[in-house]
Amino acid sequence: MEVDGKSIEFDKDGFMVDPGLWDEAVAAAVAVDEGIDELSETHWKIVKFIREYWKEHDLAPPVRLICKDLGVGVRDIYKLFTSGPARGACRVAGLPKPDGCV
Amino acid sequence: MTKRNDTHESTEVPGDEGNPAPERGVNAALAELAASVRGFGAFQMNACVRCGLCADTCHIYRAEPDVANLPAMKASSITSVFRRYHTFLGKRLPGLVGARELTAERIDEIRDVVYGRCTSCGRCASNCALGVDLRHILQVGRRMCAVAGRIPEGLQRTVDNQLETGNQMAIPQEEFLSTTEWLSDDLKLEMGDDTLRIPVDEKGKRILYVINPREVKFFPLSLMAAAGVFHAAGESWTLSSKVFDVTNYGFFAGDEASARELVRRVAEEAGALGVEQIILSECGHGYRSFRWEGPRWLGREYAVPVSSVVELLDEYIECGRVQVDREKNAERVTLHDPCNLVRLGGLSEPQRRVLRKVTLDFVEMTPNRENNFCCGGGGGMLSMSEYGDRRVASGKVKADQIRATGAKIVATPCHNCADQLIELSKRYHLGVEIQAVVELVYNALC
Amino acid sequence: MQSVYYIVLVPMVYAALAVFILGTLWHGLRLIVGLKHALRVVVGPAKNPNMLRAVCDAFLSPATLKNHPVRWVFMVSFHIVLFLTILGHLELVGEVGVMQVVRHDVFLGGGILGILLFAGLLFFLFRRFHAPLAAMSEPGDYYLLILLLLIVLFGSQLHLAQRLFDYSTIGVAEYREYLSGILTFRPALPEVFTEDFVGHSFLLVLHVFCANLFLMLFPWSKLMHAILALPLARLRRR
Ligand code: SF4
Ligand code: SF4
Repeated sequence: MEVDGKSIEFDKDGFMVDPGLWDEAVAAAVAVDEGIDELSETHWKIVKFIREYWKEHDLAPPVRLICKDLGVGVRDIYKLFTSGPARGACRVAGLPKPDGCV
Repeated sequence: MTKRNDTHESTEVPGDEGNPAPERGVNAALAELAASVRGFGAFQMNACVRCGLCADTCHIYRAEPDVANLPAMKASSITSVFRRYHTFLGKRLPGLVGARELTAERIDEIRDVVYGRCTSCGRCASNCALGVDLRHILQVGRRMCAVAGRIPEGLQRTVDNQLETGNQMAIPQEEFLSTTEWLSDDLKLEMGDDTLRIPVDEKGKRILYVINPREVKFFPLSLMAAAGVFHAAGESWTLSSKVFDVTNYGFFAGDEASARELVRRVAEEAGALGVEQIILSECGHGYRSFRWEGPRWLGREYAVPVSSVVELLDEYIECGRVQVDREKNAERVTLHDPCNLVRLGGLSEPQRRVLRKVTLDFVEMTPNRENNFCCGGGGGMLSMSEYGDRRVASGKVKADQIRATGAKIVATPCHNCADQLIELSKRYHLGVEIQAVVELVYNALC
Repeated sequence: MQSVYYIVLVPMVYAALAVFILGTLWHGLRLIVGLKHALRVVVGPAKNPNMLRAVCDAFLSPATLKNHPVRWVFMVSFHIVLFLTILGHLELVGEVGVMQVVRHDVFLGGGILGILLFAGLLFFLFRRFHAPLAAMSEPGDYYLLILLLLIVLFGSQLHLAQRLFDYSTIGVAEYREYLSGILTFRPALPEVFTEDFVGHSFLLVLHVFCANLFLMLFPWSKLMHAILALPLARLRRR
């Protein structure tokens, strides 16, 4: 995928091969692929939170932290990211694919 | 996605310690083949007549009709090795009967076939003209790769997570506790009942409920729903904060030693908590491996009965322990049958009875029950990114089935299938919502 | 020449029968043991069908009927024709009363069986040159089909030659003399079998030669599916 003249590689699951190349333009482009044409303020809050958490812990944050820290209702997450926090939000936030059944 | 540096200590596999020694891997694989064949009836290995009738019974072949995806062809990556070492003609005239020597390269070929082109769904086996158990043959292939230390990386990492941290997503115990607390608080509000809580590590309850870690980390709605339904039914139940994982990636990987250990932990925890019954959350391979394979791995039956939560829900509704109102799920609902729960687990009716009681417009997809197609995400596929494109492509069969029903909601009693179905809905623009059966029941509570 | 004829028609027939019977028995015993073991280690909720059910499944393959009805008809007809052809040979051993319920000249089917069988085998063979079967087939699969084709070819030539071109020197009486001799271990070759260039004895020798090869290969090749189908059906979960 070409974003702003950078070519971004994705693995066969659609997650970024090199998470270091992530920036907001990439996020927006992945979001379109997720069926989100325009990232809202709440979307951005969630994405940035996931990104920060990942940088610190090398892990995707559990959905509880996203909801509690950002004050988002648990049912709302799945409306914002229809493929869920893992394959949806983590992908937009440029994380590698979480392990296991997701 | 745990820290990637410290994962490969605990599960050293024979033949892969220190310097990789390919011959050792080959020998281990051959020994495993010989042992598997002994129990399973060698005749299965050499019975296929290569008639090709199983071709379109496999969803992967249907989506990508390449002969490499033909079930009998996949199995022959293993049976050709069997012929070379265990049959009269194969030993003497290998070229004539297509018998092949096992080498390190061939193990890698087998690996790409058994993990990357097959979800161990068993549909080909039940449709073979002769009745050859192809699924089992392919599973033997997985075991051979496992003993040779050639389990695909993503799968191996998940197994390691399970062994080291007790759950496949490496969720720490504190995180588990905080999440159940948070969920109880939300549930209190939703159900308007202040006495409600999600019991953890409580002794002497009737039921130990074992879940998929995904319900803690990413998709808590189903755990919330289960807690709500248990509350409504006045059930005496508990979770365990140490052993809460129903999944078994050792089973997917063909790594029976790890699989046995994971099963043992759950059985032991049930004993420690003194429960009367183990209830498994909606999980296809968890049910298959814990309910059916477990006793074989352990060499004994469990001390307490084991069933799936869909059986329990069925019981609640049948005997009126919970009151439900179908009107609350007015949209059209269809049901996806997880292979490991239905075809290979023998559980097909409870979920249907439940759905008929809690939804207004329930339609079957065709084919269904024991003959249902795999969603494409089985056999550990979801954890192996290297085969991600094939996984999504092979889901086309399922996507078409779903589209034909015109349903808005797809219920499936398996979290693994749910993940695949969510992705299929996105990639194939199905616009459906995926829900666990228990979520629909919770939704219908009066 | 005569001694070659003799070797093919007598000692080789005994050798082939011995290999066939002993090999199949040996495999059969291993099968029974294997099946017992396999039934014990069946994992899961499998309800294994009882023997009667298994026999029906093995012969009728309901899964194929459901998935590929056209190919099922073809497959089943082929096997029925094959069965009738083998059955037809009984009358070459001696008088078989029951088979004359429908009155007919020996051989059963008046040449039709052989032609049908030949067509079916040709179809199976050509199918193996096409995708996806071409990539799946082992060399042995082709050889077996060719061998079968030859057997049928020579066999039906024997019959048609006698019927259409009046090669009456070798008839039912001669076959009965020969085959019952083989079966009673008093092998006797009618003279016409070994006289050079009289009638079509060379066809007979070729037919028997190929059939001998076939019998000897039976226990070691995928032809065993004729017997394997039963334990496999018994193990099938439903
Ligand atoms: S249907 Fe059965 S016998 Fe035929 S090719 Fe497939 S596995 Fe082999
Ligand atoms: S087990 Fe399922 S995925 Fe594997 S070959 Fe058979 S039908 Fe295909």
